[in-house]
Formats: sequence, C-alpha cells, structure tokens
Amino acid sequence: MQHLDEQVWTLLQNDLFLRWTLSADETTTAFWEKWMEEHPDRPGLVRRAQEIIRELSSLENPKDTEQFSADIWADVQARLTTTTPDMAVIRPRATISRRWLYWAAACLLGLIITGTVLRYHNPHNQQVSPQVATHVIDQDLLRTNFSATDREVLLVDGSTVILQPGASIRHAAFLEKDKREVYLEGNAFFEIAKDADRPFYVYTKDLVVRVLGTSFNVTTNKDNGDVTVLVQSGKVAVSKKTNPAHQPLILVSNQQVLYKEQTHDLVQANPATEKVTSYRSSTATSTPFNFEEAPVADIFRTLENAYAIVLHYDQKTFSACAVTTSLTDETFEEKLKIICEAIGATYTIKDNEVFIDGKPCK
Amino acid sequence: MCERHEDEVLLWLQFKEGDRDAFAILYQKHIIPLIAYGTKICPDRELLKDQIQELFVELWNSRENLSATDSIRFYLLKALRYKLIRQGRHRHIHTRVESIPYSNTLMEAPIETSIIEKELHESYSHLLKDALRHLTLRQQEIIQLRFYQGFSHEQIAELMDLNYQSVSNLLYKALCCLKERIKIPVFVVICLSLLLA
Repeated sequence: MQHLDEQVWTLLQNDLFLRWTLSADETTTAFWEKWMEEHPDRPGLVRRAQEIIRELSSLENPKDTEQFSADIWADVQARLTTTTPDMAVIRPRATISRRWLYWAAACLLGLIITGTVLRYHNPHNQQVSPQVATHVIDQDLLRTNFSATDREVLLVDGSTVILQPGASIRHAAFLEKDKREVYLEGNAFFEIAKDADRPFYVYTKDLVVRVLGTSFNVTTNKDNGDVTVLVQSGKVAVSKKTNPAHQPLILVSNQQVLYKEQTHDLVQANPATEKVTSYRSSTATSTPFNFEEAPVADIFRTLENAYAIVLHYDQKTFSACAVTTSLTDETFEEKLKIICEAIGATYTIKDNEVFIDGKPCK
Repeated sequence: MCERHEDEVLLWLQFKEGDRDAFAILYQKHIIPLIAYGTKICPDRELLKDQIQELFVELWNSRENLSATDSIRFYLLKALRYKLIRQGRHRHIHTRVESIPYSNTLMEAPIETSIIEKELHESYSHLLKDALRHLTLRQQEIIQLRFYQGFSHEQIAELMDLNYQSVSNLLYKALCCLKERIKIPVFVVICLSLLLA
C-alpha cells in the first residue's frame, strides 16, 4: 500500500483549497497567496496539490457531450410544450402551429439583435445564454435553440433557418464548397438562398431534402417520429437516406410530403388544407442589420451572433469607427466586405474564423 | 464566489417563478457535469438520457414547490443518482464491495527514456486515465465528485450515503491506488512523485 504525503493530503481535503483551484476568485486567491507567503515550503506544496486536482478533474470529459446534451434538451422542450397548458397552442396541429409561427416570426426581429452566442470552452468556464448555443464538434457548428421561442439563425450563403425550441442544426461553419449540407434535429423553417452551383441539402434522421432555392418547413412528430416536409415556395426533392438513388418526390409550393417512421413509407400527402401562410413575408423585407452610426464592434458582434462565426479584430484600433448601413439578403461575406470597405479594413478567413485588419478611423 | 452564489440564488428564484430562459440557463450550466456524473454511475446511455430528461421535466413541473437550495448542482446530481438507483438495473450503484482485482504487471513495462517531454505528458494523461479505469467504481465516483464536481466531504457523504470518515478513507484509498498503478519512475518524476511520502 502506497502512502500519500501528509501535507498534500491535507490540502486535497481542504474545501476552500479545492474551490480555489477549480474556480479561483479574488477572495480565495488572496487567502491562499497569503498562506503561501508564511512558509517557503508552501508554494511547492500548493503547486503539487493543484497539479493533482487539475489532472484528475481534466480526465472527466466524456465524448459527444454537446450532442447528447442538445438531444436531451430537445426532448425536454418537446415534453414541456405538449404538457404545459398555457403552451398548448404549439401542439403540432398544422394550422394552429403555423399561425403561432407567424406570430413568433414577427417577434424574431426584435430578438435577433439581442441574440447571443454561447461557446463552451470547458465546463468550469462557460458563458451561458438562454438563446442559441453554438458548439464546435469536429470542425462543424452545432447550433441549438435552447430558448422557449423560435429563433432565427443565418448561414453564410445568405440562407435563413428558424429553429423551433429544442431544434438544432449542424453544418460546416462556411458550408462545403460544392454543396451546402445541414443536419437537422427537431423542427425548423428554411429559407434557402439561390445558388445553382451549390445545391442545398437538409438531412434528418431518415430523409434527404434537396433544395433548389426555396422556403419550406420540416416537422418531426415527437410521438411517432413521422416527418413532414411542407414547401412554401420554390421546389424541393425529398428522398430517403437509405435509398438516395430512388426517384425522389418533387414538391412545389403548398405541397407536402409525409414520412412514416413505422413503415418507412414516403408519401405525398394531400395538398395543405389551407394555403401555406407566408409567415416569413413580414420579416423578409425588413432587416435585422440596420445600423445608424453604430460602433463597428456592435456590427461585428451582431454578425458573430447571427452566423456563429468568430471574428478577430483589435477593439482598440476600430474603437472610433462608426458605420451606417442596412443589410438584408447578402451572404455573410458580402456583408463582411461592405462593412470592411466602410472602415477601410481588410479581412481573411482562416480555419473557419475571420481575421480583420486595418487602421484606426479618424 | 459570493457574487456567483448570489447569481445562482437569483437564477433559482427566476426559474421557480416560471422563467423559461432561467430554466434554459440552468440546464446549460449544469448539464455537462450532470452527464459526466451520470456516465460514471450508469453505463447505459439510453437510460441515462431518459432519466436526465425526466429529471428536468419534473424539475420544471414542480418548480413552484421546490425549496431554496444552496447548490443547484448538488441538488441535481443527487436527484439523478436517486433516479438511476430507483431504476435498479445498475446494481453497482448500490454495491459497496471494493473488490476489483488489479494486476500491476501491465503497468510495469519499461518506457523508453528518450521520449520527449510533450509526449511524456500526453501519455501521462493516458496512463492516468487508464489507471483510473482500474479503480473500483465507487473509487472512481468519489474522485469525480471531489476533484471534478468540487463537492465538500459533507456533500459527498450525503450523496454516496456514507459517513464523513468513510468519505475521507475512500478518497485516500482511491488516491493511493492511483499512485500504486502509476509506479513507472519516469512518471513519478513528473507528477505523482508529488504524492510520495
């Protein structure tokens, strides 16, 4: 049987010491610094004990935790929305649901500006926001709507996705060069920017939706796993993941397709009983990127939040820069270019992050 | 710490009043440690997923009746532990038997002394991870509760249903076993020698 150094062991048992090591703050730091000064042996002792604690705590990082956590949250949200009486209107009855979405989409405008992005670095040092969380998994972005209302997220190509509570999308930060791919869990409304050279694919657990510049809704019934794809405008092709070569079902405006989880049947459902409410029309013409003499840092922050892409710039350099602009359907890079030109800056993109360089504004 | 504690109390109050955003923040703040702990005591991912989901749905539905709490994290971990035990399918959660035999032969292999320091450190973490796996489940649990979750001896005692002295003994034994497994001189130099008497 091995034995531990008595003094190290005493420190490992000290709650205050543990708290200081795991999450230091002014009070604890002051206390332990003073304690170390009292004897020349103590700094070494403290270092040894801290190293042990850090080694042991760093071992606890189970894989795929982010995805796992997003899945659980989606399930929790689904159960709360169907069991809480005052939220009953969002039950997945198509017409009511759409009307509610219409209302929710109208509200989005106000919310999107304040929407913040969450990044996990480690469990002891995380920024927390109740809105859309972004995690990086194998270089992809996993963006989850942790809020109780619909949230809009933007993609670099100019497409928009409205995530219902608990829904998440996973995609390459800058999307792939030849085709744009998004993996969806939960329910979402898509408005896809036209780009004939880069088809847009939405993958669910069982389905592939190929898009040719359009807007449509993907809904998964939480009870039986059935998936509905409802097209608002344009044209999409829906096929099963397991059999992509099979002739896909082509849907145009106001048509919908139903995928039966149980039987794996993909059937064109009756045309929507009432005309699909264009719940985007009210927001489509307006813009969340309206800035009047705004500090450029605010604009950068808005971009970061909307696209979940990190911008690196020197706050001090650009502190005097203010921009008036109104942006809408541009792609991420077009927006970036307009803003950078306005302040005489340049940008480069490296490893899914943007680096902005320039001189102070006068 | 004080300020942070006040934040936590405020968050809990907002949640109790039915604030869905506060609920979401609560989830995000605690879900990763909760999954880490759940994974330690329940190897069945699906069951764990169901029980965590259940925990948060119940938390929301009964929010008005919940009392004030000193530590939300502790409250959640305790509730999860109770749920998993009640499932009864994971016997080892109950058991107190500390009898996993370990062989030292694996770890005695000589290590090339020419390995550069960085590699040393990486393989050290790896070695430590491996050593941890050879501890009994309760030893692993207590190491996590203490050094990752940062719980006090009293909290661990309540959670694991032990008395204060047993917590101390179990923790001491777990650390000794870890040290025992990592006896290779070169690593002892780097870190675990720190533990040597």
